[in-house]
Amino acid sequence: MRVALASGLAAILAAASAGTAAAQDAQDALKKKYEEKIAEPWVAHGGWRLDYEKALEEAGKSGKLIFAYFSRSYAP
Amino acid sequence: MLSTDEFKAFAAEVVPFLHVTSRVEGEHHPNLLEEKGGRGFPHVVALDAKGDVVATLQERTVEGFRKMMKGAGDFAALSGKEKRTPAEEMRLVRLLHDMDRIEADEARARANALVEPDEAVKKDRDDFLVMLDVVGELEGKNLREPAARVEVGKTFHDWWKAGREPKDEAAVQPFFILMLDYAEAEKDVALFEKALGKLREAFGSRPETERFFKNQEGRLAKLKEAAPPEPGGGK
Repeated sequence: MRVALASGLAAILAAASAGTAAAQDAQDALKKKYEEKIAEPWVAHGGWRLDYEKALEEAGKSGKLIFAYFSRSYAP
Repeated sequence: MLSTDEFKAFAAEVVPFLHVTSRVEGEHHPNLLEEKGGRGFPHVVALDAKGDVVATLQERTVEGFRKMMKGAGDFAALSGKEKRTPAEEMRLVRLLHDMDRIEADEARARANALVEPDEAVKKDRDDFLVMLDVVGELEGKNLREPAARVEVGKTFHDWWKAGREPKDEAAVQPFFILMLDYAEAEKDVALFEKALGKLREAFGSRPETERFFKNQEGRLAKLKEAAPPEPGGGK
């Protein structure tokens, strides 16, 4: 019984690891897509502020309004 | 468009903020799009220094961006004023409605409550009210259904005959496009041509509408072919 339990547990742990590894791979892929997006010329050389809090602070100090453009990297 | 010199010149007048939703765990402000009223990408709004939405985009061109930011500036100036002229109040009502900050009923009530508007403001108000009526007529209708489109097109045609014609772009498009469907259903070539003419006046100069107008010309040609010959012709 102990052997059955141990092998059952091993199977569960193996499945969890495979799942964890797959999830990590998916996250890595999303991070890569994000990095590629912000490296695109229109972003990299466009003077865009990417930090929301800093954009708010700059708007407050400069008296300018924020032009907010929402895009995504996880899909085309 | 976002790489052009025209955009760069515009960007110098504002704080250009880009939010990229990445779905990476731990990303900052993962729901910022929804918080600022967005449902899809790209989504463009003007924000003030508190992060409140102060204008929404109507036209996705650099000129449209400028108009949006001007609207935002006007909103900030007008909403802070204690006493507004009828023209200023009308402008504020339009801005609040565009930003979804007030519903149509409140917008209508405020527009109708203007005190001694001059002729120009009355005209602006009347145009706004027609726009609200057109948009209201579309609500709840399943416009994928041809029968629904024809029914709404008939309503719009009745309004047009009674002298009500929208001037706001947001209303001109559905008003005359659905009238085309009604004209086609009624085999009314003259009406189809008039409605198409109105759409050309409003949008014909935009390159992105070329395919749309070509398609409508095709519909008109078919309508003419199927039309009965003029009575008394060929004498």
